[in-house]
Amino acid sequence: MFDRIAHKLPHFGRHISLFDRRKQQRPDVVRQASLVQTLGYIFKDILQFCQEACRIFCAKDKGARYKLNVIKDVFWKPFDVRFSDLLSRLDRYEKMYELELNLADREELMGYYEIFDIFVAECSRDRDARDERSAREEMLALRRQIRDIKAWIQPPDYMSTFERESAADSLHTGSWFFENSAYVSWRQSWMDSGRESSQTDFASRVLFINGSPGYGKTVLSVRLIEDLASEGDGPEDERRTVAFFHFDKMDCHFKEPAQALRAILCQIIHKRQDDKELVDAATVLMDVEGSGQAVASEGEVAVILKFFLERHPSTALVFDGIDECSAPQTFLGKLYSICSSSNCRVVLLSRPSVAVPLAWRERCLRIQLQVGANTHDIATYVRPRMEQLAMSELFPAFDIESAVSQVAQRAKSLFLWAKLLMDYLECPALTPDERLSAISHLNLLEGLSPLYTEILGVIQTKFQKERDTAYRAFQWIAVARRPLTILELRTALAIRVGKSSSDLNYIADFRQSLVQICGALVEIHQDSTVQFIHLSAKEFLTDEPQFGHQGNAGNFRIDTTSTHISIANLCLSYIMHDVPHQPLSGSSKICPNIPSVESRFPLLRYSLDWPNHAIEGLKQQTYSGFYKFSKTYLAFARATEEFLQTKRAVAVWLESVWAFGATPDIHGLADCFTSEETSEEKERARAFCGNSSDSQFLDDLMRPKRGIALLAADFEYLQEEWGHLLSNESCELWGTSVNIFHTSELTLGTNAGALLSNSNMKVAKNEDEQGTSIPVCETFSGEAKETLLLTQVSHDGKQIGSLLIIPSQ
Amino acid sequence: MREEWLFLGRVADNAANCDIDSECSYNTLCSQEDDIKVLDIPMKASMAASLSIGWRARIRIRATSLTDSPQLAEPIDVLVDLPPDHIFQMLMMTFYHMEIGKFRISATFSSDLKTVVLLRCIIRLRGDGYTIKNINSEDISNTNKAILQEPSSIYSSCWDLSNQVWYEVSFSQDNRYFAAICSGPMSLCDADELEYYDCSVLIFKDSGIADDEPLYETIASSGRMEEVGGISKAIAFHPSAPYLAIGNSEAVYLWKFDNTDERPKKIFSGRIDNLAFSSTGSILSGDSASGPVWFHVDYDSLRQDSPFLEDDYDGRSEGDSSGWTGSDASPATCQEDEDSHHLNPDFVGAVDVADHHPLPTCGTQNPTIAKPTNALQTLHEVGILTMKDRHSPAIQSSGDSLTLTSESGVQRSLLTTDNSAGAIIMQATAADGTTKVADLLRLPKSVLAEKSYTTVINPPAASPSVRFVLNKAPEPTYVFGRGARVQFPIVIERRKDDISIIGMKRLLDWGEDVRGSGKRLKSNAHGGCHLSLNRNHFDAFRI
Repeated sequence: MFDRIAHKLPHFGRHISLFDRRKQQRPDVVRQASLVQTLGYIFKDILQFCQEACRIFCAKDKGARYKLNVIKDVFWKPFDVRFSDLLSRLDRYEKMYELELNLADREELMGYYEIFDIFVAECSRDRDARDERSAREEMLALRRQIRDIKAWIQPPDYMSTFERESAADSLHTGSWFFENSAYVSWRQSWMDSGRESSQTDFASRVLFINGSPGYGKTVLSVRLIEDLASEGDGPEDERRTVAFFHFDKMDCHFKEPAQALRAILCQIIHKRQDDKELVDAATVLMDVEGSGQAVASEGEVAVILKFFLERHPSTALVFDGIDECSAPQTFLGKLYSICSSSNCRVVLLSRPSVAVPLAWRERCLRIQLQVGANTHDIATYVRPRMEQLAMSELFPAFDIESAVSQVAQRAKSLFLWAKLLMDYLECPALTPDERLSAISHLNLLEGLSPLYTEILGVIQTKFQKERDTAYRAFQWIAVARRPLTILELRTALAIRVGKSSSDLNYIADFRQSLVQICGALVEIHQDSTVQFIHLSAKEFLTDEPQFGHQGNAGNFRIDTTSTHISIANLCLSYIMHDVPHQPLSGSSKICPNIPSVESRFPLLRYSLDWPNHAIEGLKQQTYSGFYKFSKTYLAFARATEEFLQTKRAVAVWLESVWAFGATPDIHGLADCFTSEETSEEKERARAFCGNSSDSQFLDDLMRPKRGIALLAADFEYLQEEWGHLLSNESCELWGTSVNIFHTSELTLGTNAGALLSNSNMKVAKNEDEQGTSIPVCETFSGEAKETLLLTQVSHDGKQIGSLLIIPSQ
Repeated sequence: MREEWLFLGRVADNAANCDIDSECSYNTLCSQEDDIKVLDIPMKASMAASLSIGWRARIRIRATSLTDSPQLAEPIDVLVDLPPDHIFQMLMMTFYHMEIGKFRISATFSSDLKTVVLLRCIIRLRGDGYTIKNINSEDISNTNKAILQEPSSIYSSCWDLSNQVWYEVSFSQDNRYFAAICSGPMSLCDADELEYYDCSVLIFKDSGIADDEPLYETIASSGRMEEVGGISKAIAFHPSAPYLAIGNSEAVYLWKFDNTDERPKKIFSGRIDNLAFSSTGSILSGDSASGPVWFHVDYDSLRQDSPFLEDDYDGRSEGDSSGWTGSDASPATCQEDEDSHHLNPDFVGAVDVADHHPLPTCGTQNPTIAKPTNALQTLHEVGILTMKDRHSPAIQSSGDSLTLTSESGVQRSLLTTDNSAGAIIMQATAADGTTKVADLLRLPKSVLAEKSYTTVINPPAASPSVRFVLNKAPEPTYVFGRGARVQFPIVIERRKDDISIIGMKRLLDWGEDVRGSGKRLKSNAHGGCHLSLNRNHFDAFRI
């Protein structure tokens, strides 16, 4: 009996120690109380047993009688019987405890399961968040990458023309064009291009659209792009990309073939950002494989473009105004080399003057825009403006529909003609009778030239001053190297050669006045730049007249070559007389604030390029031109001389060049003065003049030659030696350091410091050492191979030691 | 393969044609830079021997301005024949280091320009002539002979080349001493240590017996220090006592070199560049990674016998209590992020006021112990060009910091050439953290491209202008035949009032939060602050 109990007791001991551990580890388990209760039963019985046992065996102090009773009791009730209940209870309680324990374990297990589930859910959430974060980071990185690539490609603002034309002519729907069978066929082939596996000949994928000047090709191209772009959305593998470019001869940023390709590439990369391989390829070329230039080279652009077009054959490229490209045939050649290996489609819009390459002529699709095809569109455009005229009583009452029909018919599909006619009719200088007469005799205004002549005729009737202003505005707009802003043009028209301009010289309300003064031949774009209404207007004004004729433009004809010289002269005059001869910020120690400088001197940025205008004026001029415009050339020569003699004006120009980051081609101008072509023309002009007094101006014209050469040398020196400083702190040009190291006839010099003349120092001044005005010293005799190891100043500062080593000869 | 043989054959032919006695053209050497790499050692030795004949040095001394030194109207211009043995050694070391075409030539002038050290030749100028003394000529000659007899032995380390190549030489202010940083492969024949380079500093002293002759003798050797290149223009002589501060990439040592038994003692663990003593020698300043640091040097403690543990030089753990930088380092030690920076509190203290401890007498020297009175006044007088007190030199050159002490504090000025800004800049930092920066001169690109340094000649107080000399800086290695775009020296004068102060800001007040670093500076129990740290650089230490 005792053995059995003794066997059980340690067992319960272990239970309690196990229970203690559980309680410490998991105090929160709910079943803890049941376990305690069950254990309590067990220990209660054990205690009871112990009490009994104690009573039986520990009765020494209770007398013999007590012992006797115990013995009797034991005798009558043996141990087995006495404790059998206890044992059975213990067994039951133990089972109960185990059951509780089991339940507690399960409960705990369930708890773990729950924790595990929560953990799994958290992990899943974390993973999702991480995925989302990495996707976002990846997206950001990709965008950054694309931004870098775009900056590297450096495309022109290809959207400007598109947006302008798209917004301007909403009535010009071009719907008639979309029914053209050649276009429909070409479009269908483009739609099928994704499904074609075989490569087709490039020429057969080209659509060549020809139309006369003023037909409205640019607007048509915009509608065409919109039509094609509407097909852009589709499944991933059938997505189509449309990229476009509008050439513009009047803007130097939009006439080079390379610029067109840059614009196209930029659009493609932007539209196909999902093509990571393309982006990566471009990045690798940009960062690793390529030339390392800050701006992508033409070759690099071509490589990426070719790579992309091969990957995405469902791409359409639209180029408008091929005739306005500076080198149409070069461009077509490049386009062929890029596109021939892919299945992409190309649309080219041009005047008929651009010849289709022989190799393409037979296979490419061609559309000749027919006269009368867009009559309905023209009528739609003219009608509201006619109605407006009638409502404003600028027109006598008449049959509007008939007038609209007449204009539409007489326009002979020249949208521009209709637009100009309406502008002409809206001119406030006309009387209602004159307007009526114009409508009645439309046959006299047929074509663009008569209309331009008529418009110029209206300007001609104005006051002399107004006529001059219009002519000068035409001159600036015609030869400007980039479109001038309205503010720049206003300032330009206020310049008085050789004098400073005052507020009184500026035209008030210039934005409104300009269009009226110029008879609607110019227009102000949304970006505030001023341009001719159409290239044909510029051509009309600048066309070379037939021999013996005055030309269509009459008194308004612009000789571009001499005009370049005039503009150069005006720019110089502006720098000389309108900009103060002091640091741009007012102090040689403060860097100029560019927006503030621009607001004070709106034309300064443009004026910095006067050498480039002078180059155009000198290089392209013929001997007769020199003779004919001798006064203009002479004025320029004198202005240049004056400029070069005014050191502070030169300093203003140089500081501005660095402050604005301009790139005037002063070397080109110096070369111009010495070039054989210019000399030959001048000699011919001299022969043409006959007597020496007439040809004196040619000698005078060459007088700035030396000064320009010096300026070019100084400029090169500053670029090379001080570019690192001047590009950030252009005001240093006025500071002491630059002027200590560099002394020249044109520079300011300084009295705040000097390069000390020393026995072994001289400053390079002669022409052979131009550009190296750093002190050239230590002109040792004989030893050519000696190497300077070090120089050192003595402790008292009075001597300098030089140590050289001469290897064996 | 055939091409390689042909190539080797051509090189061998060329080398064979240059026997030791004939003069092999220097041009041959330059044009065959690539060829030399493939030559075997005997050929290299042969070529070096033939090329080592006929080298000369030209020394020219001129006045910085003709008006200032009428006595020097006639410039000194002397040609010195250089001993072939020294040239041979220089060429062989160039070949040995595989830096073909980049020749390591140590050269310096004494501060009075009367003595020149070139390679291991000491040249004393006198009038139009000169006297030359070659250091260790006999040893070099023997070594060279041995190499020529058994050229491949140069790689077997059996020839002791240690201490034979001088990387840099620097004179003390009084020109009585000069220190040479030397290096070469270990002299051991232990194959395992073939690639290990030893580095040590040698001190030479002029006996001063003859003014015309350079009687310099070795008086001390620092023993083995760090690896080659570890010492980077950070040796500074005490202005008047025989102490040399040595800084390398890991520590700063102070060496009392007139006692042959003493070895350099580490006073700071961490890299400090541009070491310089103040005019009295009580303060040592330099540039740490986080900005200027100043130490007050306690020479009394330094004199006490403290064992130099060579283990310290071998990169012993900083926390090891057996080293100098043990756990005794008080809380005053630098609390920078760089835990490795520790002061040896026995020798250095912080500087926050002008306290000038008398310098100990060192050997036979009796250093001038003069309080630099009115120094502050001088600072004010000269403005930003804080480069002068009574005991300062008349010049200050780029990279040499100058510590000035006065009644009211201490100031340190450093002249640097900032290549990114293209400017010569003088930065003056006061003990209170105030920093002034003056833009002294802008430099053209060609000057920046050359390795140059600037010396500012201290102007008299009445002078309205300051004079700058753009000097050719000594280079670690030279390439011959390369035409320089700028011919140094260039002397420039500039009006003082035209010099602009480009920055003046109070950097930090004690107790002020340091933005960016997240540290707050507090006074410690010893009554002083111990660290000022922010990105504008200013550290000070105080015990």
